[in-house]
Amino acid sequence: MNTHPLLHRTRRHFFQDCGLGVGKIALASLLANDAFGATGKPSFMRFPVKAKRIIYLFMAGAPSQLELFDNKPKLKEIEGQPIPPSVIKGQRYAFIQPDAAVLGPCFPFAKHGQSGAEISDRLPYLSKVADDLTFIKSMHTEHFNHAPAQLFMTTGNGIPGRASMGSWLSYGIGSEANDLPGFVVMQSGGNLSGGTAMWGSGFLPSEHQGVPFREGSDPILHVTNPKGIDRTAQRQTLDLLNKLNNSNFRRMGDPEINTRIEAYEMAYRMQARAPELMDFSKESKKTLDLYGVKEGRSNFASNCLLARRLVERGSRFVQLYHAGWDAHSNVKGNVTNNAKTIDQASAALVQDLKQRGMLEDTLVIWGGEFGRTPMVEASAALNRSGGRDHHPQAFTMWMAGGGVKPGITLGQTDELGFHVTEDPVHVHDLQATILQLLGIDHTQLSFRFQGLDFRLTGVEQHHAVKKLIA
Amino acid sequence: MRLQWLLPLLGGLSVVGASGKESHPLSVSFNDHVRPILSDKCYACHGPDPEDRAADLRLDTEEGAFADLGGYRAITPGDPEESEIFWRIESKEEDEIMPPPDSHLSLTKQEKSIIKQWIEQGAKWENHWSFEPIEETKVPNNDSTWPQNEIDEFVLSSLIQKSISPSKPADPETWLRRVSFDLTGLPPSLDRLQKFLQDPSPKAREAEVDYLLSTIDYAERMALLWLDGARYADSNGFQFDTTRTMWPWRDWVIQAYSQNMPYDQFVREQVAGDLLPNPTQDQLIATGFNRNHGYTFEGGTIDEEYRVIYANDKTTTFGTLFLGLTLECTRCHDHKYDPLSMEDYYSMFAFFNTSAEKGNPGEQSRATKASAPYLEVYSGKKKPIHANWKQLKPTKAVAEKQTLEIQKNHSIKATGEVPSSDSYVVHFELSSQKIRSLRLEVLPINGSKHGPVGRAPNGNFVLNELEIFLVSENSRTPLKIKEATATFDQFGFHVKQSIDGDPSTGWAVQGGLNKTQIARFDFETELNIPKGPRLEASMEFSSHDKHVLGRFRFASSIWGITPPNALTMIMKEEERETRILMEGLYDQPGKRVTPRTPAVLPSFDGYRLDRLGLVDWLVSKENPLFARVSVNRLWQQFFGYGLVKTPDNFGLQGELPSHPELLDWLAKDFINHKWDLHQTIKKIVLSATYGQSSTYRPELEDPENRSLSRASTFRLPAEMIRDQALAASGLLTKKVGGPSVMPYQPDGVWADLNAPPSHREFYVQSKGDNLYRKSLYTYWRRAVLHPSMSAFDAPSRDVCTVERASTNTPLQALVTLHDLTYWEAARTLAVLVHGETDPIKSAFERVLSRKPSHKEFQLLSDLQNQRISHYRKDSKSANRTLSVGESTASSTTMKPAQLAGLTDVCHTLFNLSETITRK
Repeated sequence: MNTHPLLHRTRRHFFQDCGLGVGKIALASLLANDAFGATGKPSFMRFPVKAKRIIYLFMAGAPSQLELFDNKPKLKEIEGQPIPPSVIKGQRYAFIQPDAAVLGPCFPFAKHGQSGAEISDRLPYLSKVADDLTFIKSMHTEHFNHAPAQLFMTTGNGIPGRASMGSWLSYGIGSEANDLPGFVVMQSGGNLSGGTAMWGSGFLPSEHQGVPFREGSDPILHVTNPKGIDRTAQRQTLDLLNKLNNSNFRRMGDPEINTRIEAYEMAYRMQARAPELMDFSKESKKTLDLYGVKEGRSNFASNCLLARRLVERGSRFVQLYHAGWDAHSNVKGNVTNNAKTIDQASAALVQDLKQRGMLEDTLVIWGGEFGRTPMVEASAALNRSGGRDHHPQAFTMWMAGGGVKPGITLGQTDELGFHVTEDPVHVHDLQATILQLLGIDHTQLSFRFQGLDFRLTGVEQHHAVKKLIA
Repeated sequence: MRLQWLLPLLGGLSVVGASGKESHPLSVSFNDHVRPILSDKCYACHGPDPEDRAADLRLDTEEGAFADLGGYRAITPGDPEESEIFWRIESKEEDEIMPPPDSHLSLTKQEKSIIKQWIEQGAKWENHWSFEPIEETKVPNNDSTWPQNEIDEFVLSSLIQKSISPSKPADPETWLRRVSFDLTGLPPSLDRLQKFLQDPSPKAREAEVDYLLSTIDYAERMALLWLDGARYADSNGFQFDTTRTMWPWRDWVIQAYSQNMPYDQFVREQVAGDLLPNPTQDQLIATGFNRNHGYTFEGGTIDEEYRVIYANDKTTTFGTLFLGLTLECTRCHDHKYDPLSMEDYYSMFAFFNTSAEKGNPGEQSRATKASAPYLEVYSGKKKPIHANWKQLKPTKAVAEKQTLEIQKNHSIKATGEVPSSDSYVVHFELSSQKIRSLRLEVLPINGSKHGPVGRAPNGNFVLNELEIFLVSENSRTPLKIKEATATFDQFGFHVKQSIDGDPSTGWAVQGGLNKTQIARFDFETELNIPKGPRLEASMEFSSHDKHVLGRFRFASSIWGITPPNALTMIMKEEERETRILMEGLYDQPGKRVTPRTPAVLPSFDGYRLDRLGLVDWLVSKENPLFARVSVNRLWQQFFGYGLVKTPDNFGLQGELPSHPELLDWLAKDFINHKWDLHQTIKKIVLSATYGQSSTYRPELEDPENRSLSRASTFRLPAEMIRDQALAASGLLTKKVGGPSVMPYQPDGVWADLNAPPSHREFYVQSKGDNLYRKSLYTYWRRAVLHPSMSAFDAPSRDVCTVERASTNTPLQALVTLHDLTYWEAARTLAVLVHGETDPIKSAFERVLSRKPSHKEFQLLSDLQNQRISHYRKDSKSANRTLSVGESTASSTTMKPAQLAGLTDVCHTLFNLSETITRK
């Protein structure tokens, strides 16, 4: 395909509107339909392309790093005592008082693989692929409530209405899929505080927004023929539309008309492609078992498998939200249950991509919007006990594949797991790193709206984390 | 006049080619040629922001650019060799060249030569065009018969300069369809079309425009545009994006447009209606404009942080919509490009910082669907009634486990050890023989204004059941309570649960503790009670340990409550000092500022220091921006792009106007005609420029039609695509205003938001006529926009939007191919036309406002035949096609296969590129 049907009007818009000419170049790469095959690199493509696609496992609600990855035996020692005020320094919390008592880690940790990564006993499957994972124990964020923190992680800003990471990628480098959406969103577990704004396109044209896949037989809205309309009928209609639109084009000369003809053809192809995508019958039993997929069940495991099928078919960015980690009470039970839900399929995804040779250029990201406090949260009024509150100062994420150094751990926290003591990684640093792995200079991928040049990583100085990149 | 040759060309001959590429100008103008280069490439380091200024050199002011830098100058007029910037931009040395390599910016050869030429020609400095006063502009006289009015003279002058001739006039049917969509958002009716085609004279055109402007459809169409800018929505945005009621404000906008309210008044009432002397209810409703942004209700939110976020939104919306300035840029630092400082920003912010509102308005506000301050809006003519409460005198008060003491002020206080549960019985003397409702005041136990009202350790109570009886010597008759409301309901403990007969549920006030709360109970009907019997209130507290009431009082009224139709948010002032917020952070206040407008614009001296003063300043004749920005957006409505292509940015980084004199003439004319929208709009749509054919002229290399050498074409906005299908088929219901409605939407779309049950909103599909209202009235949920609207680029309205994207995607094709709306409209259209002599021709004309060509007719007939033979073989499938939607296919004599075949043809019509394009 040498013309991109999506963006004709937008192209004109970009040619004139974007001060830096980014849009024009982004579009040029879109027109080639494969940013990586295009000659003449866009100006923001300033780094080697290590990852071509992303699967982002977003653990909404914020998993407790202290129960999973960041082992702090000291907490056990002083369990029940208030945390020293010198550590807290006037920090505000959503729900608990600053003098709350310390809660020790609920589970035993052990070292795994050659890398010796410390992982708790709640994650037996991920422990087995520890050498493929890259841990960042020094994540920190600016927001301590779910909605803004989730939006901050996904759109670079705490207020709804900005472009999400997937939209930026769709806008900047397009998708390799021409009959499936390039940016797909799936959900499992509980409620998502940040809402649909987390995959919104903000000021970018709406075609760049994430396409949520729905449960049931019609995963993409309107992709199935309505009752009574068969494919032959549709083809007849389409053929007629093409003829009439073509004669209209000859009269008016408006290039939009040609673009529309192509859009209708792509819609037709998408209708054929979607059922094939959703059909797991060609997957081996071994694969299904690896993920723990049960027939007819839509859950985190089936979403992980579907994510792999999507990136195989050219989707650029697949984001899986698993919500339910918000352990204000009973962090022990919360982590046990959620870990059980995500452990096997997350590990399977890494293994499966690896055995298919796709891990090296597919980036898998796993993590929540912030961490959880070393202090216990308990409140008779709210009927809470044994929980942990929101903790923006330090939390752990992991990545795999896509050009990150496997088997390393970056950053450390103090002995209470309260503050980062080494290699802090701000959310914008992480976003810059992700973009760089795709070859993009985060300072150069921008869009002008209301006179401002917006970018995913905001206006402050932030940097890709070189230590993470292989 | 030198271009007499133009006239013969208007006959439809082709055009003298003109290259779209800019050649090197003969005379270099600072505003047109030089400043755009400096702004793009130099101002980031040598502009208005002192923080980032390098080498203490600024090139955005005349003083800075020509300053003596110690023996040398950046710019020496007339002498490039003596100008440091010339050396720097021409340098090959890495440490000398400007812009420096690490900026990733560079100057093209042509840009360098423009700067050189400008210096050679004397480096004449000009102030930024949009900050200069709007002068009276002389209308050129081109000595041509083409112009219909002043607009055309300006356009023609500029075409002549580029040696381009205008396009021939559009067909009358094209013109009528164009002007109908532009002014009313709907295609012309068949009747009007046929009438117009009989006499498409200029006089008839004017009459048609006058008619269109007089319709309510015009007001609705204008409102549609205004709602994007004013970020109107039916939901609160943020976390779970819950429902709000702002539609009374939306209806005010429609009303204002339908009266052709002068535009200055339109803006004044919205920005500052509450500050007018004795504001009317409508003027208060208008101020909802400022409150249209989102509100958060997330637990743990820091109130001040979000209050500041809201004030920022109000400020930047004002800046974008009325000044075309990017004030947002100066929230955290001085502007990089425009002469705006942080102090300017916070001085503007000060106007909006005094809004009496909360950062987190709380669960109660979520329940009432409006955050204080708000206005109760009543439906119909009924005005809110003052209840005129009369205290009920208790005669007896007993509890099972506590002592109830009757106080002097008729309140009742519980004393003694706090029991786990209890029941109270209180008898009252009647205050009047007529009773319609009762009031229960829950009072602080200590008798003062503040303090716990319940006896539970946390100060709360749970009133599980309240029952009222009429008691005489030998009878005890229950009185049925119909409705209950309260000043505060704890979530999950609504006051209605105290009259639901279920003792495990009840009313409680956690979140509104420590002050008086009032519950109100309405009886089914007005009670006429004979003298003698007493009233008994029986109260049950049993579900929660120790949650018994400490002190309370009853009153009665002869009035029932008319529940307000809606609570709509309005503006109200509250004293608050404003400080510059360092880096834009709410908890980093700096220097104190007072309300004033940006220093670069005309002086604010002598104006009131509040929003009313701000609007007076805004609409004053001296303001160079307001009129320009306003007419530019009008122009955009009719040409796809404004004369300034960046409607949101008239600053240095914005585009220069394509026709600066025309823009100024329109602005001045708008002011001179007392901001009369009808007048300006008529001028535009009756111009020859607007009336041209829109056929592409590829040889001009001007796809955006910046030269105005033809009419513009663009895809219809999301709303009009659906409205057209409804209108052409006759399904459209023309009801104006009221709560937003919920037309067809695929199942589960709102489930994407995945809100918890306590915060979940449900899409309850509307019934009957409400399924077929204009899309203006479709419920606008910011986070989960109606998918058909969102596919066609409707913005979320999280922020002020003055320009919609216009994309062309497969997902759009899927909407018009598969959405129920278009199938139902197709079937209804088929039924509508099936009895006519030529159903296909009639349907075609109803949808496209023109007759089909022979070939088009043939192709459509072929499809119909193909489909009929298919449906004959498969009658089930025909029935399915015919049973789409809630409306019923009225009985026709046509056979199902025939009707289904015709339906398919109509459906195809709705999918044509031409159908969804305004050309």
